[in-house]
Amino acid sequence: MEFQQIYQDTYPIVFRRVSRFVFASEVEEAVQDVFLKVAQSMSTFDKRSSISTWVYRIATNYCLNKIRNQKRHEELLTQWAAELRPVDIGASAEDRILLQQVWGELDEDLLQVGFYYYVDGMTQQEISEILDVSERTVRNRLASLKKAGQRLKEKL
Amino acid sequence: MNLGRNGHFTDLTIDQWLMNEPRSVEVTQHFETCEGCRLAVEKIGREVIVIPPFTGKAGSVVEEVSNKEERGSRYTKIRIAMVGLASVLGVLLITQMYSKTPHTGSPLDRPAEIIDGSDGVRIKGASFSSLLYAKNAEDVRPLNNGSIVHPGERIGFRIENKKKGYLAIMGIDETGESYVCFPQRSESAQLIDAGEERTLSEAIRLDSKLGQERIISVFCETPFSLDELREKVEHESKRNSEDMFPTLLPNCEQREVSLEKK
Repeated sequence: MEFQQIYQDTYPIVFRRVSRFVFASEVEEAVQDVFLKVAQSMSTFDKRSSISTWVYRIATNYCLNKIRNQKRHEELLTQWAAELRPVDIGASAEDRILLQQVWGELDEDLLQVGFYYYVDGMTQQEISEILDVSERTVRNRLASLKKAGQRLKEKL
Repeated sequence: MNLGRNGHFTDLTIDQWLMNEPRSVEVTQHFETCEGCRLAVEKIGREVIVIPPFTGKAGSVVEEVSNKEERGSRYTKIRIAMVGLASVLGVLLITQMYSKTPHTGSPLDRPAEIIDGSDGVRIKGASFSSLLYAKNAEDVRPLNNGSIVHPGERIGFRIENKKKGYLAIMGIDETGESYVCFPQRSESAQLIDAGEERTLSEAIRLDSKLGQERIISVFCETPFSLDELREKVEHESKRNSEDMFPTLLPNCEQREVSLEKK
């Protein structure tokens, strides 16, 4: 599939995803940045997942890194907690607080898994498909995430 | 496509549903029985997202990617060149045939009167014409009155105008809900210079609501607000959903295409 086709087909997905992570004034630029990454990564797309899943992952990674760098995570997490649609809230308040607390200290892999699980409310199976890792790896990363949260609690 | 931890659609599932990706029985059954998920899909499907051209901050990268894809077969390029040459010759031949054909008064002998046979969407002598096309993963096709379209498809617009004027394109669905197709980031019709012929960068993606979808293009020499047009469109739609719209704004030109979303 050509880049232009992917761009046209998945633009709304990236736009919606990015809109949840970054402020309105930065959305357009962020979407373009995501597609730049898509263009750069096309040769690595192995077609084991659908294009939409692959682009979704790139968009999520991009945004997680961007907001982590910007240190706006607390404000945004609070905003997301309020915006989550009633049908898809899979995360308890405690879960979200855990993620907020450990956010800045997590490595990228744990952060991704935590976000898909606690904020997006995805199943371990779906996360394993998106990240192209085994469900066991997802389980282990979630366990590490909880441990990181507990360690932080003890410190406090 | 999967359900989330709470057994409902996730954001990704909604996006994939709107893209018409393959659905498992579990997901389809859930959609049919869960009103919350259905409403969420419909709400997001109704959002009109402008798709701007890729700004080419990454232009060189895109070019590189395209080149890699094309590099594969030298023969493909030769075939494309031959088809291109044949097309040019064909167009020249047809042009010559028409230039030699005397007009007899029969509509068939006046190919320019309705330029593309699209039910009056492009009319000779009019100040502007608008052409709609649908695009999905497989193809791009022009849309005329009665054309069938599908949820998730992208509808684009190509315009051509002789006079300078203000253009707005609005849609209205089966339930009488209207939406702006162009210009999406303004509260009033957009000024278009005379002689412009272009594909609009703004497109719409169809939601999952089935039924009639009417797209109305209005071209005026004076500015007008989108609210004013929306009010007229909704009012006339309530009054009569069967016939074509009457003139919505005085002294303006108007085109309408009615699509069937299945």
